[in-house]
Amino acid sequence: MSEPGILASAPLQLEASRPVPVGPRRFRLDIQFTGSGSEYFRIWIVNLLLTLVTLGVYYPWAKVRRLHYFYGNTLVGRHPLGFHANPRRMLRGYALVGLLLALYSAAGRVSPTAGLIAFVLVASLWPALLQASMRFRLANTSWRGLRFRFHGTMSGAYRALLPLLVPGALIGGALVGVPERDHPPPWYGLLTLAALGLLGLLLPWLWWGLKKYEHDHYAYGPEQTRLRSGPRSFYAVFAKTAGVGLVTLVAVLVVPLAMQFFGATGLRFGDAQRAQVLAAVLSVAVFALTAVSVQLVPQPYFTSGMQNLLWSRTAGRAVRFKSTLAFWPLLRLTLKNWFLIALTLGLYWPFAAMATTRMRVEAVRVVMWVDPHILADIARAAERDAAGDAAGDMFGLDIGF
Amino acid sequence: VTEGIGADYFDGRSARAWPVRLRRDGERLRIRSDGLDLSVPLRDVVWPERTRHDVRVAELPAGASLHSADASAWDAFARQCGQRDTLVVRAQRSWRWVLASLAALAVLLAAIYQWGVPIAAQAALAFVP
Repeated sequence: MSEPGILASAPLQLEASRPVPVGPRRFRLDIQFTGSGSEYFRIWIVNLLLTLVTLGVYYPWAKVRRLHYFYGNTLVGRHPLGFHANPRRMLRGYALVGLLLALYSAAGRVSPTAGLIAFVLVASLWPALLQASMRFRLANTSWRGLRFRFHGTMSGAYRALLPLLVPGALIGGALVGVPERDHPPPWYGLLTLAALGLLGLLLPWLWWGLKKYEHDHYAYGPEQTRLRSGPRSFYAVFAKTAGVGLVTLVAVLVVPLAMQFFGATGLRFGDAQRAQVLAAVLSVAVFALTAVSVQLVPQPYFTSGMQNLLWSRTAGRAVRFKSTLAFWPLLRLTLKNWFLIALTLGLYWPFAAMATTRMRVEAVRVVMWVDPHILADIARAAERDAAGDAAGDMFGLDIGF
Repeated sequence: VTEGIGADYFDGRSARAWPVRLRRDGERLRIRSDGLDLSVPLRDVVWPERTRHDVRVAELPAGASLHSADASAWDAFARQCGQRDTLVVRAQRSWRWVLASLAALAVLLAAIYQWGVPIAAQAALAFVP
């Protein structure tokens, strides 16, 4: 495959052996996103149709096209990111993960014991899949012709992820000990509650461990990033998000009180029927508003807070990131997106994805103390296993570029 | 070197961009600049799919790549090198094809809802002990 003419190109190899000088000069790289909603809409529709017609076999090709579009339109210092994964390889990964999940759900039907064994099995494979997924994703991502790398070890992945599985294992294990599954004893309910409470208390710490594992091991050329943050800042973001959720809930609950007041006024004036209709309509609206606002307001708050925390504290020896994603613009965009998605029965989704990505990506800046020109790869990433990428996507774990 | 179209060449081992000129030379792609002269078989080049805005990136063997921010010049050059859009790319670029796909998608989803869901439910019932 390799072309001798390229390997032998003498002037190009001189750069690789020289150590990278870190100077006082700063290179500020702005990130620009040029994806367009109407163009992504067309890619999305064709992807959906082909995936459905081929019963999912086309999915890796669809995913590569999608990522290709997102990456290719992300310009870091006027140079696009590249995505190079081989869809055929990814298909094998998806087949493997699909088999795992099928076995897992089948085991759950047989008996709780079989379910627990399957859970432990899948759980013990999960960190390995995450690590393979990160390596695959980074090794297939490029900028200025250089591939990124992921240096996280497998044992690191197990250390970061296993604590997340303890509460689940606790509940599953207790289920085995319950004699009658239809009428669980009170201690089972208490144990489940305790496990969930524990999970809630530990979640920011676990999230920090996972993110630290990821952000400590991104590498490009001679650079490797570190996450310079302890769990305390993560607890702060989680707590503030919970606060925002609470405030939203209270604000939304003020409406029914006002409604009752107006309903009562209607009654006083003798127009009872109209008041009842009004009350019914308003209570439906309030229910929808409550359900929606608990999700819609805290979620963008968490997104902006977490992105700013993660990327502003991620740095390498000669590279730093700065993220300034503001909450109010993101909230306005999220509300507008969901309104239009509901109005168009989902067809607005690709436009929403483009607008959100633009806002999130363009909020990040890169500062380097070394001319990007002279960066060189020290060792080419060799490992490219598709199984991990497939797993990472299915479990909803993906790096937020 | 002034002939052909301009592009940036990356060797895949360093982040340095080399301004080069590209030219078709029979069944090979000629990449030249001052102090660089490469020749790659056309069939070994992974050509980019045509989209509206982005920088065109072609992959060469051994991790090297060519970048061009001038999409229209690049597309003309790719055609000159015998590149044709794939069926998927042609479908993605045409609103008529996309609207037809959307209609097909709607029919397919309706069919799945009408016949697929009951069949799947029956199949699931057969598995439950």
